[in-house]
Amino acid sequence: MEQPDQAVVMIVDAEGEQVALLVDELLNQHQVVIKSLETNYRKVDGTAGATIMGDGHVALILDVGDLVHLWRRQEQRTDI
Amino acid sequence: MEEMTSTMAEHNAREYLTFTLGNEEYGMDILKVQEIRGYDAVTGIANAPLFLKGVINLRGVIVPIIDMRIKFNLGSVVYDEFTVVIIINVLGRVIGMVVDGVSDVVSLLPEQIRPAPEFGAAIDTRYITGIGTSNGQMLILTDIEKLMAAADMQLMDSTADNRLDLAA
Repeated sequence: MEQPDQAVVMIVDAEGEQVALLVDELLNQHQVVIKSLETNYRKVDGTAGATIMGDGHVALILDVGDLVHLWRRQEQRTDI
Repeated sequence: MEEMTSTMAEHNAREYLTFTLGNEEYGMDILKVQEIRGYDAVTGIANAPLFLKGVINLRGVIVPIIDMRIKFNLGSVVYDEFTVVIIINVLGRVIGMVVDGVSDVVSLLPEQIRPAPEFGAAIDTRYITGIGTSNGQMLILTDIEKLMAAADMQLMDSTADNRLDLAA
């Protein structure tokens, strides 16, 4: 992470608790159609698929609950 | 007696798309090729292997792009207007592979194909079905589906990989 103090903090609700995510920039709010990553690739940890933006490029859809689980598992491992 | 009629040749010959990777020319079953395109607008995926450049939007379908030059440590890895991506249909999926270049479609009769030597090619001989010769050119004929199914490609989860091994 380049400059953590320059990041935007995004607070989200994930499965009943609040989580803060550090991101570079908040862009916009969209309604999107979720496209599968698994059809041709595989399940990617922390994601719930992908979508195609207006200009045609692909954007990944984050699954915050999944991210929290991953983070928790990692924490448990390092605590041993 | 040695003459082949054109219809016999049609039945016995198989067609291969030839592509280059590093210093060698490879051939793959043309029937697995969906299309050939340039390289652009790839969305990276976190924690993916280096050779998995990311995914693209192929007319509404999300397709992973594998850079074969990175995977097999070959050639110079540049991305410009000449970069070629072969979109293939294997394992019930659509996958893109970046290669150095694409040449002709070559028709080979069984007698033009020799067994592969145990060494020499950058790609594991397990994935080589033979060496084809056409117009003095040597082609390394590749089982692209088997290659993509290999565990180190990280496209398949382990249960699927085992099924493919049993079937082989």
